[in-house]
Amino acid sequence: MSLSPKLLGAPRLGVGISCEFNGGTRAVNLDAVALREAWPELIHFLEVGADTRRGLDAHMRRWAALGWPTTYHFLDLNVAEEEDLDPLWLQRTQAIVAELGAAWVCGDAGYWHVGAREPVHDVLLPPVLTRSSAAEMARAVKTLSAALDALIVPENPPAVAYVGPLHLLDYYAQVVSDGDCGFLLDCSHLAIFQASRGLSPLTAFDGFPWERVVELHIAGGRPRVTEGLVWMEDTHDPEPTPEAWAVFEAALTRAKNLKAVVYECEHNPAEEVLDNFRRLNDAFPARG
Amino acid sequence: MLWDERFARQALEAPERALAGLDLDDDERAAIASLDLRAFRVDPLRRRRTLQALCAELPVSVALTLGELGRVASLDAFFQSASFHQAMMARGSMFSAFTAYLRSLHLRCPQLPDVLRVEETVGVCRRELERPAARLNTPPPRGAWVARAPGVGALSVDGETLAWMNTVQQTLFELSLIPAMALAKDAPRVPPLSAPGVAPPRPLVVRPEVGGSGLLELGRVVSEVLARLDGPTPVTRALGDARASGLSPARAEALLSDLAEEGLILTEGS
Repeated sequence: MSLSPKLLGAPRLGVGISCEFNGGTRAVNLDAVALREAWPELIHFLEVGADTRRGLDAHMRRWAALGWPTTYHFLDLNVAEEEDLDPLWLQRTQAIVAELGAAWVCGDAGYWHVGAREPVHDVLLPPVLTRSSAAEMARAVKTLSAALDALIVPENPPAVAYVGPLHLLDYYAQVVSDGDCGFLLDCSHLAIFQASRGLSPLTAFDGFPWERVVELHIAGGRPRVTEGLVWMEDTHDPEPTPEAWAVFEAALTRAKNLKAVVYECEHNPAEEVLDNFRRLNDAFPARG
Repeated sequence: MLWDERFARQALEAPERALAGLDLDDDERAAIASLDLRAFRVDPLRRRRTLQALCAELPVSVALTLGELGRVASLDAFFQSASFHQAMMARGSMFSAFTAYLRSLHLRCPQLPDVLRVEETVGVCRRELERPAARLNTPPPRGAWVARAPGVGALSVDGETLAWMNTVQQTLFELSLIPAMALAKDAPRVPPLSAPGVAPPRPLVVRPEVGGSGLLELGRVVSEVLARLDGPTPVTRALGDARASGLSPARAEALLSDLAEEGLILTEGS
């Protein structure tokens, strides 16, 4: 299938940083505006993580008011469930995207809540890795793209355990091909998945529609042990694991339509993330 | 499975029985059964955080419940209850399931039923502001109709209900100042509450959007009229209901007009 004009026409954003609602209230939080002013050659856009319940915070609005580039990362849509795309959510998301002038709409494509969208229901779970689930997600992505008139970029979520027989990349290959959308490969999440199945970091790379990868994420994590079960927590620490870097390097050589890289490091001291911002900019210059 | 380890264990050991009634094929059941039970234990505080969020919306009801039962385990048991599992299986509301669970305990506390109704209505109204209200999804009648706006509720409770709630909240506030006090034998306790059935019923309108408690006292007629407008209702019937509450035809029309102007009702075709 040929690529949609929305994907081909998406701007090259360079390297960005992510943020979540009221992140500034946490003990350590990077001020993206200050960081961009300090390092204009390293920080090119902001990925705004928000939901329709709370909307945008002052920090996000400050960045958007400066007219700097953004992408919108939803935190409240079950892309795995078509029925989750209700008119109220679409209307509010459309307003947020318009206010930001977001280049595209992305987000972990699985479950952000169990059942209906309600405050107590918040979770982050991956989809069930089956063909029928991928088909439903592809339909949801198409509906979303039409409703928002935007490029939709689903992301592979993190998890301690995954349900279903498919490999994560085979699952999302079906979603992005049938859904005619972009893909956000979170390198750290994929490394977590591969490790959870005892696979090497680059398993199932062959055959993936890499031309649809428009964005990469990378972040640090921490190994944990629960009753002997070894797992990786996606903590967004400064230093990504060697496996995550391996995924990143391999993806970079394959993703010919790559537009953006996000270093998810918002809750760390600036001096601890500077070197990795340099490394990512060397790998993926804003003007390619 | 994330909230109920006993159920998770059953799903892993006997998936056909534990997952019966769910729209799952053999492969999907097998996939679930292949999970490692330890993966459900990586977040030991999940239930507590969920309870925290539920209790935050039902603070007085939960305080009265704990005051009678005296065991946090009675709240934790919610996650093994039928109401919780039914809500999870049917894409329902965990909040509504929790209120149903509290009712299912059939406690003796005479103040609890009305307190729970107030806190539940506030929570339901909050949810209606976030997603389309199911009560408004019914096919509208022919001609002009009105309905209570999303996020607006109305109910009538015992006249002392707000006083009970204030009394309990004051104790909870004291405890929040020094949470460790809860461990002490002389920790602040909820004083005896006045008996129900003495003061006349109190009509309330619930509107969390306005902030504060979200509770408004707009009089008996307004509350009664709003309470009847759950779903799309023909204007003629709404006017009739208002007249049945004691208004003249002209005042009934003026009332609907005022309610629409205040955003308390939706109007269509009038």
